[in-house]
Amino acid sequence: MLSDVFRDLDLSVFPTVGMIFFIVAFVAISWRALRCPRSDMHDAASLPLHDSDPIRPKGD
Amino acid sequence: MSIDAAAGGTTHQARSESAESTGGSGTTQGPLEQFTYDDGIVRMFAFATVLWALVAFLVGLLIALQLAFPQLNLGLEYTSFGRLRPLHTNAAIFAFAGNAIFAAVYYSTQRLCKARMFSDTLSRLHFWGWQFIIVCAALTLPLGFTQAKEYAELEWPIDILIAIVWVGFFGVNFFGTLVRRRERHMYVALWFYIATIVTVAMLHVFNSLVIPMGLFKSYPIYAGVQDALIQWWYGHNAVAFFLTTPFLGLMYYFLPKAAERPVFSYRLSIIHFWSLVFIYIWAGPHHLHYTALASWASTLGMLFSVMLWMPSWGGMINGLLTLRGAWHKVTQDPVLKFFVVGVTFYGMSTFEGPMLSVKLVNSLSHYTDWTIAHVHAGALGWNGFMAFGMIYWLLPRLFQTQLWSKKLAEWHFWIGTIGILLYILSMYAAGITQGLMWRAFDAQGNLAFPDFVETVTKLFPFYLIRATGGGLFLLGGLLCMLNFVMTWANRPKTYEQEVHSAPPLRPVAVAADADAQTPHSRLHANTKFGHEGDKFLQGTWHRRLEGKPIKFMIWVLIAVAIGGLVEAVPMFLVRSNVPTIASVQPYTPLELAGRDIYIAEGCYNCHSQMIRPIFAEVKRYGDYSKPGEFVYDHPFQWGSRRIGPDLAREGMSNPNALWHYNHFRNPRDVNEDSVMPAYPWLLSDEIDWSKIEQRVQTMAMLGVPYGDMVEPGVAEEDARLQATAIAAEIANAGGPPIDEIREKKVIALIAYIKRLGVDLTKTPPEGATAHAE
Repeated sequence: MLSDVFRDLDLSVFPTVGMIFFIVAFVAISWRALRCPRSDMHDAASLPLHDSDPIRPKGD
Repeated sequence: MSIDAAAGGTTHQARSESAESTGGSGTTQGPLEQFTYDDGIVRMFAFATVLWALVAFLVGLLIALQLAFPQLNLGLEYTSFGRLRPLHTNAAIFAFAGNAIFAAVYYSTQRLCKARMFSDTLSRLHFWGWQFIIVCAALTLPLGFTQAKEYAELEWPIDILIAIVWVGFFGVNFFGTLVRRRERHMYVALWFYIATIVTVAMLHVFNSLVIPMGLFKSYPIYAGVQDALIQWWYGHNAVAFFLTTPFLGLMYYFLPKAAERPVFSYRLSIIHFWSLVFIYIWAGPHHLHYTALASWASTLGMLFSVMLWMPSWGGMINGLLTLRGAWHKVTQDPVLKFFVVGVTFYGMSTFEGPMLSVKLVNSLSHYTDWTIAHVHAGALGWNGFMAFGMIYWLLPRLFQTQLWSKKLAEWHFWIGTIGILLYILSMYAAGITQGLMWRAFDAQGNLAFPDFVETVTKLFPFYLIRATGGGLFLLGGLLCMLNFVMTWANRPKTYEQEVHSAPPLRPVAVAADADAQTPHSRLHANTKFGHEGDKFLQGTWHRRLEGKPIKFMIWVLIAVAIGGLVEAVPMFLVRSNVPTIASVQPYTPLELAGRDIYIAEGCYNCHSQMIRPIFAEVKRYGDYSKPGEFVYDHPFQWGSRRIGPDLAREGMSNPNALWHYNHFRNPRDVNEDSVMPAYPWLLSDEIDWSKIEQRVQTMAMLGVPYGDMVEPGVAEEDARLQATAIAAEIANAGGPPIDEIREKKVIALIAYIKRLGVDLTKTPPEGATAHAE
């Protein structure tokens, strides 16, 4: 049955469908990224810098 | 003494005590928990990275030299190009890059989560399990045990082991750490690690579905076109989710650390991540342009490949601009030098990739060394330099001493850079030269270079330059190993275990800022839809998602599954995608045995079996390939490189059995310029007749219509008859006597070669049908 469904589909629409999927997801994620407060972004971006593993002098 | 051993070092378990805290973990007050990080596992993976790098580079150098000097396999079957090339790629991808990924993940995840890894035991099982897999690969591939699918050559027992180690040890350990983390927000590097773990597991499982025939042999459940689609869905995304996303995670953590400043734009990193994971998975079919794959699928792959340029460059720009205001440090710090060049190569490769996916460009580049240049720009420049940059940054921290020689690291950088440039520039020149020679016509409309070997000998100088570049890159790796070992030797007698503290992560519902994280509609309208829409638009849904690893993983899985499903489902369900041809019949039992020898020797590494509908190819090789020709091919053997000519019509263009016999004995006897290795062992090793019947029965299980051939004794009798006929043909043409050769492997291989492409000219057997909608 699935085979019949897909046989009747116009496969040339697949790139268009894919493009629509992507645009919807892209807009939603971009919206989230741009709406987020600057301070939150700064805090998140700084996470790797919170810890530090000091380099000790040779032979210490 | 092991790299992990810290003489007298102790491991502290995390413990809690009551205290007031205002830690930066998203909670305001709570009991402080103290914990240590497991750096022993990072040391182990870091050492394995450099060790396997040397192996991968050395094997790569050897096979590069073999293309110029084929005798360098020393006459041994275990060191021939076809068997060592998969070893080189597997060592580079899964051993070198793989261990680098694990070192990066184990180091950064603990610190970003403010938590020790979920289980030290799982960490060790992961390490030793992965090294065992690599050793298995290093043993089985030279022995000729292969599934013949690029970057997925390992046989089914090793595939199962990979799934266990990847999901059971690594995945559980990683997600267990995320669940037990003490930092509310999951930093973007962790997102890339999540995408890596989930997607690689999915790709590996679906591409490895096989029917075993013994411990070291199996056949994929897919055939021909469908096998090709799944393989390159896997192959392309192995590059995406093994060589790109984890290294982007590495970049997002280690580059800010080395530059001592936060990533340029966290907003851009969010867009970068989701765009990349959503788009990348669709791009696989661009590896199959102009092949028998349905055109709509490869066009879809091309479209998404071009779109991929945007997020890729978003990531590159984000990486390079992280160094804003810190460029002066690059001149002083070899780590930053490695990172800058690495990210630059990422940008170059991800510009070139979409360009190569455009059909017109691909028609020139495909099957040539241009592709080899492209992948090595990525592998040596991006993966190699990011990994080495990370290693140099980690060494003093892991071994709690100064780097033994910063000067040596600088030398490594410059030698490696020159090596990469020599390598890729020579391969660009070789690829474009060969592509243009293949399609060149003279004034009379004939091929300007009808003898394929002319297009190979022309590349000889480029191969020597490439080998020089590879040799320099190997030398750089040796310097890194020297620096590694000497830094390790200078370690303190006892590693100092720094005790960290942070409050535990409490559920959002009881956290002080829970209310702030719950969106409230700002609308006065009465419609529920309006309120929900406004809450969505406030974007807090994603912020919450960033703190929930399992939900995040599910969304990533959905994002990557869409592309695969849209491409694969129609290909499997719509019959018009693979129209069958009535005259194409299953291989005979002897031809099947010969096909397995073709696979074991890795012939697909140099020969394609896919004639594209391009005038120059049809002129050179014959009628273009049709999807229906491959319906019994488990696995498909289309290849991706033409170091030798295409063989799709070899049975029609060169059916001379004696020529093939002499050619396998020593290719230089029939063509003095050939770079193909000699295969003397095929002339002495005997066919394993006991497996003839089992092979046919396995194929029948996969749906190949063998009819009575599966009955006991029938297949072997048929195979012996055909072997005798071919041996007689060789003997009658002046070759060795029948009795001397009819049991030899070379006869089965010749039977297979003579079959290639001949079905199209045959009259369909009575009752055979075809369909093409």
